[in-house]
Amino acid sequence: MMLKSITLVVNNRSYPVDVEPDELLVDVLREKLLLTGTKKGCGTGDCGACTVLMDGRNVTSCLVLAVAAEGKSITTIEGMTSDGKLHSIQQSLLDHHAIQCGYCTPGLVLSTKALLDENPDPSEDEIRRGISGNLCRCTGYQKIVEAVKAAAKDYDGGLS
Amino acid sequence: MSEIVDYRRADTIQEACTLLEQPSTRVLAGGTDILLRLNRSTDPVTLVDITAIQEMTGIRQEQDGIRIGAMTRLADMARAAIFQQPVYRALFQGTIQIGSPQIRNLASIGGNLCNAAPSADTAAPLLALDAQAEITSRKCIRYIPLAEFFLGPGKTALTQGEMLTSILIPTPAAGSRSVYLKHSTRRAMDLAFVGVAVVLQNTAERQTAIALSAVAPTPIRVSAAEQVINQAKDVTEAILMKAARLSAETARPISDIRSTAAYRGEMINVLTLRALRQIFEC
Repeated sequence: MMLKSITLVVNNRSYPVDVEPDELLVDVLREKLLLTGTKKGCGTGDCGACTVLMDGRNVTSCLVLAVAAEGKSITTIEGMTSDGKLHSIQQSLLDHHAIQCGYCTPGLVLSTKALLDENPDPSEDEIRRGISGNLCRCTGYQKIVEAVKAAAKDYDGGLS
Repeated sequence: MSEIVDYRRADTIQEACTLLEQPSTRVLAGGTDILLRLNRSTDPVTLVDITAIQEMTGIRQEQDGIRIGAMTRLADMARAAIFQQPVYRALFQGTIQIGSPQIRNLASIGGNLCNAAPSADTAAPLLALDAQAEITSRKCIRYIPLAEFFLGPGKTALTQGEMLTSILIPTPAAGSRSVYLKHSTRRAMDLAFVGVAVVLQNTAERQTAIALSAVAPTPIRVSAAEQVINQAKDVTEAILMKAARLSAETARPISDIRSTAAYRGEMINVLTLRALRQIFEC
């Protein structure tokens, strides 16, 4: 196995890192960059807990090789806050009690950002489709949908 | 996944095809299928990443039809204005029903076809649109009907050193229309029990195409059912019912984790009839 020396750009910061060709982005983020806000759930692209943004689009980082992410701009949940202040999407989830165990929340925040960046005024149906790749086993989605609706009002993208 | 021994990023089709001539190489496109599949195998493999090949990405209108680069992401297919036209509705519906937004942001149209799952949601619409596969190797380019591309579950007509580079859809008659209906347990993130695509070409002589997914070893056209409609004097409810029944009889569904063969058979009948009613507006 050939170790690859790559540079990952995560939350606008460059991280030089050595990876095996078979290492997944989610594992490198968590174990080598110590950005543990990204969660690993199913490992098969179904649950969405590992969702990050790659060049602005939401992807499941358990289906991306770390080597293949070189040259892309990656945003994780750690990149959504600035100076300890929550992003408006995070604040809205909090305000609407749309979080219980919290395991799906980082991925959900990033999918919501991808959705609102492309469509700042989504219908309820578009919201439900937009977050259909993020499974929550606690809240039943109603509060999440309400939080996303509220976040869409006066949405300005926040951090990028 | 200790079996991925190396990773190479190709910048051109030529470079990718040259790398793919080596044994134990596999194409890495969106990665949403292959990374899961490799997880279950132990053979050493070198992945050839084709995502940076510009000439394989995008949708172009050409003289005789539309060219879809095999590396075009499903999310970009769904965004393309041209696929909002009624004739491509089936392809649009198939595309947006695959996986989740996250999966569609990664997965490519070529990957959906090369994975050769009988349940591939873009396959039935493309078969019904008479699509062709452009297959490129270092030395030549060949074109085959998509119907000949699928050989069985997970098996395609590609040989060592070859790559699916484009999908070509011949220009349909103006005013044509299509539909794709999928039956699955969930409305998102699920594979089809049964998928039915119908294309009605707006030509003087009636030209209907019906294709099914998830009900045979490969996605299939059901020509016997098409003929019933195309040769009928008038398209009546009885004709549509006959075509739907013939579609169910032509299919060779299996029982698996998602559904039984008997249920799939019933659902082909129901879904084909629904799709035909939508197309013929009766």
